[in-house]
Amino acid sequence: MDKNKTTIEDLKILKSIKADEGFKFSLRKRIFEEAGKSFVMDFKKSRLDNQQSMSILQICRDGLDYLSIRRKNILIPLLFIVALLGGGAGTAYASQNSLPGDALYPIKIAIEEVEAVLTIKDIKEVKLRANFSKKRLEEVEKLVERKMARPELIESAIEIYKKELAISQDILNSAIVNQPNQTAEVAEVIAGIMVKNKEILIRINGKIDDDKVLDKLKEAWEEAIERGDSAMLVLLANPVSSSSASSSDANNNMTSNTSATSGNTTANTANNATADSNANSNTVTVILDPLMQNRVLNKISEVARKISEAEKDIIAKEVKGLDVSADETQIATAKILLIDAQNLLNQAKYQEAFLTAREAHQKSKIAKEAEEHNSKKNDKK
Amino acid sequence: MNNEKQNKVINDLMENYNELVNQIFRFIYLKTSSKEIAEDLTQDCFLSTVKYLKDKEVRNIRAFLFRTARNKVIDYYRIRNRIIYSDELVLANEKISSRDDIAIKQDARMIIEKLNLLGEEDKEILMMRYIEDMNIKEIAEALGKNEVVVRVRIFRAMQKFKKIVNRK
Repeated sequence: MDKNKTTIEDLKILKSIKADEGFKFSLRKRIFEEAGKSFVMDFKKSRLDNQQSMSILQICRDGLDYLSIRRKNILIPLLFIVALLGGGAGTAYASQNSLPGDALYPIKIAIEEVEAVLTIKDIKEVKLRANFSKKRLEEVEKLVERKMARPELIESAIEIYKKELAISQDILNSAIVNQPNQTAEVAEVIAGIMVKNKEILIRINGKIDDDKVLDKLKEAWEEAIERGDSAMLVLLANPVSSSSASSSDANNNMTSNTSATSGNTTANTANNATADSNANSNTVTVILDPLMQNRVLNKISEVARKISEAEKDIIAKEVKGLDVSADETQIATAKILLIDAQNLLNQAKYQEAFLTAREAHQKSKIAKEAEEHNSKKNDKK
Repeated sequence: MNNEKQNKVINDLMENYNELVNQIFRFIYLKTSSKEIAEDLTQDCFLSTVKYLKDKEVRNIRAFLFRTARNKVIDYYRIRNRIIYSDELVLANEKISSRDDIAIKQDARMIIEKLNLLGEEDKEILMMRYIEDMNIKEIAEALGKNEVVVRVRIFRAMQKFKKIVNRK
């Protein structure tokens, strides 16, 4: 019986195989186009329905989980609904500083949900929503700082954050279909907030010791990168006016500065790539849009940092006498792709450059994951 | 099927889009071992489902998508004259461990290799039941088989898979 269970659990590992966010995003758009010819697409309504059901059912359930008083399954949901609907201004105010695990936390979420439902225009909603994701991360950070917080509680707080990310993506997709004029603005907001989220995630990462929580945080990090990339791809396809773009651009600059100080190799690799490609393409003059260039360069720097981290891991692995040939091939491919990305950027092919940098990111991730897996195996031995 | 029902099915599909697209992509990827082919066929599968829904009825959207995905893979290999799809035959040229075009953890890679040692029908029935958590009724609908037959096949496929896993 146990063996049977293990075999089934083995198969469940394959759930980790997922479609690319970029692919999902473009397919979703195509389905909307196709379905829109014959069906009444009620996307916005269904999303609001989700939010409403979340604010009543899910929040009650979450609230019960947090309070660990599931047994009183009839009385407590009623209590929560009463609290949601008639708790009064005092409760609402008091709930504002609550964290996951606190009794008032579900009320805080419910108030935010109502706020989101009442905000009709996409751009306002996306700003509000994007801010929610930042709030959720700050809550995770506060929980981590409270040394007494249970790891499961931190994990569930990260899960709540991931839900917020998914909603932001839905809003972006909805904007593409329903409000093409606002798409770039929406993407701008999401891209900007993802930069801030990444900064908080880096801070949290330095404060966590628990392996399981770290894994969960890594998932959240990857997801934040995916959401940021999706938004950035939209931006690269729909340039916005420089005035509205300047705010998130400042954030981007801030990140590239931080990344340059935290990992010196990052900037060097990116600069080397620039120098190489400049030498190759000195015959054709292309006028680059500085804003677009900066956006792609930020991605290239991020990938370069990832590659240099993976290289360090490979060296460590080599020192232990392990076989690194496969990892080295992956990293070499990632480097070539990164140089390709830089060349494409020099030709002002922003989207292609960004996608190539993403591909390089995937390659470096595979090498890093293989290394992590082996080191865990060795640790167990 | 009236318009209201059709709208409901398509809106259900979009509400569960993220989960469904991951499931179909994974199903095709595990059958073809190629990210590129899996993306192409997943796209075909969803778009042809949306077209189908315009004038025909679908009871269970997930089962229908899996059925379509399965047919797309069969068509793909038929066109390329690579295999004859049957219980006994395997994807002869494609029995390789997953290519490096997708980030797959090492332990998942090992499971794929073992899964690839099964026949196609055994493999897909285990994928539907234990990776995608489909119930017997849904699997029966997706495969166009009787529920009793599906139960027996799951049992037999699991026995074979366990033998493979314990072989070492």
